Amino acid sequence: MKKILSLLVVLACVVMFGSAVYASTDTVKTINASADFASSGEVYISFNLKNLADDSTATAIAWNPSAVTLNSGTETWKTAQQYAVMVASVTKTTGAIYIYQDNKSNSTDYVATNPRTNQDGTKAFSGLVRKGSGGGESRGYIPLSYTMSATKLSSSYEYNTGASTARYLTDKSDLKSDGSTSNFNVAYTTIANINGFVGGVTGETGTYALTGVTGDTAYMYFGAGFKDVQGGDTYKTEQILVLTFQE
Amino acid sequence: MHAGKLKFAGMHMFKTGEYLQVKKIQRLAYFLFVCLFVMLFTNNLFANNLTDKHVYGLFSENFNGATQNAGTVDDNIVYNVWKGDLYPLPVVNTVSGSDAKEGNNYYSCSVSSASVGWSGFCFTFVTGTGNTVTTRDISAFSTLEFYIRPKTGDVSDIKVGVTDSTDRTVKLSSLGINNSSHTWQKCTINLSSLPSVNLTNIKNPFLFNTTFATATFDLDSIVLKRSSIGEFNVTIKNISDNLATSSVTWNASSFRKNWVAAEQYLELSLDILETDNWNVRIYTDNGAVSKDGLVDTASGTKVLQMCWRVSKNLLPNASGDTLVIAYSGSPNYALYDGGKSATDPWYYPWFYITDSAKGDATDYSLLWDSRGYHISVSGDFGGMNNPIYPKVYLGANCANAIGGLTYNANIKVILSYE
Repeated sequence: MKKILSLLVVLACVVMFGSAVYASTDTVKTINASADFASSGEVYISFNLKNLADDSTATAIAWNPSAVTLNSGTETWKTAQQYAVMVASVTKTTGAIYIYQDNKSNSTDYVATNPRTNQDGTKAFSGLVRKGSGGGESRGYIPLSYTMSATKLSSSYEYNTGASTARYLTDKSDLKSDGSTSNFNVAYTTIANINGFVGGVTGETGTYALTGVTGDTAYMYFGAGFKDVQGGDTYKTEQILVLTFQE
Repeated sequence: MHAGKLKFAGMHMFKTGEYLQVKKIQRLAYFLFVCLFVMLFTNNLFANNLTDKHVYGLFSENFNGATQNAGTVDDNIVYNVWKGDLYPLPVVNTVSGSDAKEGNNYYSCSVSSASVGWSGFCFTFVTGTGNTVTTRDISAFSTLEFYIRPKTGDVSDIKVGVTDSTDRTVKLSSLGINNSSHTWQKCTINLSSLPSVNLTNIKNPFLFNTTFATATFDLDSIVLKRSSIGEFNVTIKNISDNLATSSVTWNASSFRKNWVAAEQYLELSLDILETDNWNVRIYTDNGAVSKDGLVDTASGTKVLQMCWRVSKNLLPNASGDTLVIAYSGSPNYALYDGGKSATDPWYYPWFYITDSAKGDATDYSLLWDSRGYHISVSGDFGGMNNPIYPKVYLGANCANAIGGLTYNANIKVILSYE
């Protein structure tokens, strides 16, 4: 028993002195460092229309009537003859660039007074408004959509609504199916945010980046869904708005 | 209703004599303020290290102390060599080399005496522009410590110690020196054990002498040390005016810019020498390996990478050292001084910072150890001369900073010794 105790004492000493030899003593000084960019950042976009045919500068978006089948009964999407070149910079966390319509603010001939009802029951004021119709359910609108690309597409580009990047152009007055609650959908209207250009929508609210770097260039193409237009009709919108937003 | 003068509560009408007294007090207060200002901002100029320091460097590139031929400031010393007639002087030269025990420099000494010869080398306290020999009180110090590296001959009989009215020495052999081992060996002399020494009246705080030895040897890291423990301090100072402040910041002008130096630097002050195996390291302390920089306070996921460099000098300086942080790209992917050449690794003084969560104890966290301050990623270290207060500069890559956010980092500067 005595030998065992001696052995334990020796082992204890080895452990104690062993730890003392290798013990490290630290004196720690802590410093706070910070970079305050709370007031920094910008939201900027240049949005220039060009003709798809020759890349010359354009001032309005139009569709070629000869490319449209009148009163077809089937919705057929056609690419506009113009596209937009966008250079954007969003360096503020709350910053965003939106695109949407305000057809209630069109001039008298094209003002949207009554919405149409979409398949899901929501009420839409968006699209091209038939002259003198005030919108409404019967041939009052031609729906619009847009798609974005990080590269410039060819002049023969044909609008593909199946592409995941295509989004309906919405109106600020759109309503949910109850007819009274705003259906303004940020996911469908956001062109760019802090992550760069928004490439498209996944699900109801999710978005994915088209380019992750602000300051880059992206291209926007427009589509119109023709179904039951008739000869002599004129459709128009005067209120496609591209806005920068920051808190 | 009261008639008469309007009197405000707390207002006192001074009489002429009182007014003059007040003016005197104001002048005195102003004078004291100016004195305080001068003391604060020229602290190194008027430092009395012998009074202030726990580790007092006599020949040290890491610890403040005496300065050779320092003119009228305190802590002025000169070194002397002497010999008896007909016998050669000791040869004592300062040598630069990576084999120094501390910093870059050490003394290379050679003594060559006949059997009855005597010679020596010492540091002597002096004062005034004429270097008048004086004595100082070193009784607050308990030990005289230094390193010696025997090279040729026999150093055993060389005596080492201090001088008051006469030399108070012990033989190196009594300090356990292994003459046949040509490596740096630590010597510690208990000052109070020197026979009959009067430590309040010391002329030479270090000397060696010999009467019979022929030997060559090196000396380095000669310090006086108190028994009480000193301090390791980190002071944050503004680059703009060198005034102390409370935190390190990058202002809004850094937004979306590549590597940018912070507006402050850290000034290190080391006055501890518990053991000679010590080092000072720097980390972020943000709780994750990936958070090795400034982390946004909103989500805690966006990180602006940080870097650091340490210098013995204030930057930028007249030698062309700048605070412009440049990125070399391939093949080194290093950060270098934008005022220097990207092709010379000597000018890669910026180190990417690592987070303490990584448990990293590599060169990328090492600021300072007995070899000196960590000059560059190529492994260079530099010794320093009085005043020894290494400056640590911090940088951050703000190129991907996001407006509307604030980024924070906890920085740890750690002195470790074993």
